[in-house]
Amino acid sequence: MSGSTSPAAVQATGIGRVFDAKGGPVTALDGIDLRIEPGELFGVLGPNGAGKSTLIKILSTLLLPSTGSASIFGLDVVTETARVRRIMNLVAGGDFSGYGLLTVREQLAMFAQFYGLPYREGMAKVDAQIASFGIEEIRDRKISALSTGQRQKLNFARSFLNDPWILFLDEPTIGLDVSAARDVRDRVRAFQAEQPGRTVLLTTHYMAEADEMCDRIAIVDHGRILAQGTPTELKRMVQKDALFVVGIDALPASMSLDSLRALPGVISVAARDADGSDASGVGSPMRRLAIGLKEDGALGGVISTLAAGGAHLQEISKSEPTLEEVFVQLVGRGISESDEVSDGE
Amino acid sequence: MPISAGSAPEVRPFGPLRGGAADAARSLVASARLAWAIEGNWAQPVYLAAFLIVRPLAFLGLFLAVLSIGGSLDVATIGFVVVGQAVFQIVSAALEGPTHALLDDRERYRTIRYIFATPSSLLPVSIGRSLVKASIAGFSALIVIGAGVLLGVPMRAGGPDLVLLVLVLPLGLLSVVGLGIVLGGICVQLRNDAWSYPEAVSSTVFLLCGAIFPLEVLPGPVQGISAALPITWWIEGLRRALLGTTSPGILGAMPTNELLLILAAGTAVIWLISPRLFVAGINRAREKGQLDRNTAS
Ligand SMILES: Nc1ncnc2c1ncn2[C@@H]1O[C@H](COP(=O)(O)OP(=O)(O)OP(=O)(O)O)[C@@H](O)[C@H]1O
Ligand SMILES: [Mg+2]
Repeated sequence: MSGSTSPAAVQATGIGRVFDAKGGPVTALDGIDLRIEPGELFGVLGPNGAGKSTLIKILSTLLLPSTGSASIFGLDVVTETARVRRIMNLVAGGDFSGYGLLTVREQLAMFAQFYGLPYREGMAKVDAQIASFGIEEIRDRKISALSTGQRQKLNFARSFLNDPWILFLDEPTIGLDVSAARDVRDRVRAFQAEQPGRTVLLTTHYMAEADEMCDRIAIVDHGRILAQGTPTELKRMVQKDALFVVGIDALPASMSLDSLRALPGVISVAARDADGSDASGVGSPMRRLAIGLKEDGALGGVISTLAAGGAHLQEISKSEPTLEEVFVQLVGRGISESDEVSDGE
Repeated sequence: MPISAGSAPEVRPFGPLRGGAADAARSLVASARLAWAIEGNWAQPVYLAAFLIVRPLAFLGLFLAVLSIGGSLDVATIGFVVVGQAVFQIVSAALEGPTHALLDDRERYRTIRYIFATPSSLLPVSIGRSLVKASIAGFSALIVIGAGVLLGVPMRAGGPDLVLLVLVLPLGLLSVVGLGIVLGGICVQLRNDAWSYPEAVSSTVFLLCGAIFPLEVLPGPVQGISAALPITWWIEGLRRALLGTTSPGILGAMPTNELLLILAAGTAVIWLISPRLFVAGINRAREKGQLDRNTAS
């Protein structure tokens, strides 16, 4: 049943959403254009109130857009909801959802019914998910007695019951400890590896999570996409040149930073202290030089010049910008400045 | 790793996998099971006893005490009140059921988004929850009727009229569940105080439907509203089936076969309209962003 032009996992065109609030209308989304290919793990990164959850709610049929349109594997999220809901699932972090009086297995069984699975098939899937999350020991425990991490694993187990083609994850690891967050990420990766084409759209505050997991990332603020690309592409936006840090015992007396700057392929040279801050470095046991180059190959000339002058080389490292730096440059503030929740990792 | 576009996971038939009706039935049963587990808080028998036994009996005692002030408390009056009060246990549970299920799922259990995002409709889910709430309230109804027997109310000679009971009971139940569905679709659009609306409606209906006093007590135009409520005829039908007597006044003047006809027609009209109103209400809530937003957020 494969057509000639295959649909994107997510295709959103000009999505806007305005809420009526007491103080007047609030624009949560302001013209989002997005295309996610089948099989991608796509991240949406943005500060509080950027519109991340609103976007996920619209794509997962919980909310209607005010303007624009979106489809999931070619199915319209406004008009073809019944079909969309068969091929997607959703997990939000930070909410303690669940019927406290039900056991883990009972709640999963109930959702299996809501997903339209026949009883036997549903129970087999429930038990398989319980096993794959390693939560057999709590399968007959009441949900009211679960820890935050166990609840979120249960929530994830539910989301896999209908073998979704696309999984929407809204800050899924918020409030989880390092090991529970890792378990959840591993399961998401395994879920994608099991079947080619399975797609994940993840919103997060955690830079490390986005950097580590996502094939591509969109940075959003005030309901708009400010930039999107692979993590490497985004980092290249803030730093186009190759940046190396070279540690030497001392700068030879015959040499100045200006003489290094004059070497071919060198764009900039700056002295840097061990803690990374710019400083004179006089009298310190080691001097670090931050050297910006047009391309990696120009490093050889710099090193040989330093060596010829009698400097002893102690370390060389390539300095990569972090996503945090990309974020600060695009959004104008750090993600943690706009957020009380501290980065878990 | 992104792979070339178009390699969607295993191709699965899209249309209704097992047919809409089968899916709806499955959802209804699943939510009925859920309601049985969470509404009957069977782990807390004291709470359950207070709610299902003490409360309805206390209200019955209150109504009888008020009526006895006039000094005219014969067994016929007690019988009238007992059946009205018993049936109303079920009426209020069914009227409030869907709203409370939706609001519970939104505010308390925070599961509504996950249920709404399944292929199942919230309609069978709400109906299933409501039916179970009404059935549990049926237990209270039996307790109230038992109290009536102890108070000396003469029941129908030879036991209840089973034929009438089998006709009247499901029709009336369906009609109140249908009205409850409409209330649910309205209240889920509201953010604040939505809990108390169905209770206000059910209290009003209680006064209108001849549960504890005859329709003649009401002003003329209001009597017309009472006569249009299927619940009024449901209660009267059950009085005839259980007590074997007709009530005084307008209620008693209605022949039983016409009463059945009104009840059936009313229930049919309700079910023609209520699912549409419910779905329209849910869609409106989806549009406003009210489905996934609890009062605390
Ligand atoms: N139902 C609603 N009614 C009114 N305003 C809303 C509603 N939902 C969201 N908003 C507003 O829309 C904006 C975007 O909210 P959204 O929840 O999408 O942000 P977010 O990026 O998910 O933030 P966070 O990181 O805090 O989760 C915010 O200003 C929010 O207050
Ligand atoms: Mg959010």
